[in-house]
Amino acid sequence: MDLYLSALKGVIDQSGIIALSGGNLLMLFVSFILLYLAIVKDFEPLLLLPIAFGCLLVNLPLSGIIDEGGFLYFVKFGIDHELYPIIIFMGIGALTDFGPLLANPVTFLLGAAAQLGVFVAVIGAMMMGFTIQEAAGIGIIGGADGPTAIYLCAKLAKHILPAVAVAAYSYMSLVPLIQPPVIKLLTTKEDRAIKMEQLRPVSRRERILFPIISTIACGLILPPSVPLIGMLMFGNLLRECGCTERLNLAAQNEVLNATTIFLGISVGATMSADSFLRVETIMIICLGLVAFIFSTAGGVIFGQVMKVMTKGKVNPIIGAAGVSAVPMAARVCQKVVQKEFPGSYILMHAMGPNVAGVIGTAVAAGAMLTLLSK
Amino acid sequence: MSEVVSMSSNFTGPSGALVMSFISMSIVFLVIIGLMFVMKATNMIVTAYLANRSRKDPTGEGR
Repeated sequence: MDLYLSALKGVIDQSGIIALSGGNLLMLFVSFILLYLAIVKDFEPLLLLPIAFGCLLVNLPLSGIIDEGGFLYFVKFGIDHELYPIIIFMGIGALTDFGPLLANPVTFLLGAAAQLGVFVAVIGAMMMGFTIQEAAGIGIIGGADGPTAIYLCAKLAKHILPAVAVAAYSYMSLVPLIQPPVIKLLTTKEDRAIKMEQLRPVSRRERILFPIISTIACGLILPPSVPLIGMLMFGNLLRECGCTERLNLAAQNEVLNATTIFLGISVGATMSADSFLRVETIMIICLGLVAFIFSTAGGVIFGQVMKVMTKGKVNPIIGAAGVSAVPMAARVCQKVVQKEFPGSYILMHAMGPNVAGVIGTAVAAGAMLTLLSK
Repeated sequence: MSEVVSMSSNFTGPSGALVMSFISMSIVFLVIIGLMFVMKATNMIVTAYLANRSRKDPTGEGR
């Protein structure tokens, strides 16, 4: 009996219930909110759900899952050494059709203009007392590109990675709520009514040459952008070359899905109470929203400039798609237009700036890495 | 071999952030404009190549 009782006491002493802190409880609550948003509200569930579950796992005390030798300790290797964002970029490349961008290269500029929020947030973060490296990590949220945000943050300011990742993916899922008011504020009904000319067909040769040439061009100008741009273009080449169909399908399905699971759960695993429950987290989430709004505004304002320069041939709304969230931002543009003008289609035109935004954010990350790496 | 020197120490305070943001934004625009010209050039080269080929092989059997 004594043995039974002492064994029972030992089990209770080693149980998580005793070791559960207030911070753990709060983080478990945060994970429930994220699970709710993913499952019930369908907010970016493919990423939010693994993040939420990673957060849940890591806040169960004494499990050792994140300690040296634990499962998540090894899974986190991919995020600590920036592997997952790069593999995800390959998958995005395999999923992306650069055709609309190749058909209308001028819309590439919208992808650059929509990085405005990144730099507004950098300045804002510096004013709030963050270091320049932290500010860059926070600002990149405005690019609306989760993998790039994680990549840059892991390189420059790893300690704020959980907050940045959660903010980036949360705002990406909130694109349909954040963008329409900004679009409507910066455009008139006449602007939104503009019908754009049909895009020209793009030859296979152009589609094959583009990823190769742009990798070389970006790589020579901004070497730190090579991992992201290079793998994005490699994935796209698998798609376009026509002779690697099995690899293309693997890149956009199995590889992308498996990596997404590990990325999400690793990001969640960084959300321990002591690293996440800080005033800085709230500041980062607020700055992320500012970045997102300014990025959308930057794209639409540049869209207005293009409308004037082309004498009304460009619908300025497509500038909002310059934030990278592919293809959600382009779909939002289409929805805003279709709500007022049923039968009006700008989705393909918006896809151009949308994929340009992915490249723009990766270039912005490369530029900041070049300037700020210690 | 030349040593790469970190530039981050030049960007301190909000004014440093402003300068860094301006430099980064201009790099983004320069690279994107460069890529835009690459696209235009690729289109022109491919169009010229296809036109040349169709002149040599009007039946299109060689495509």
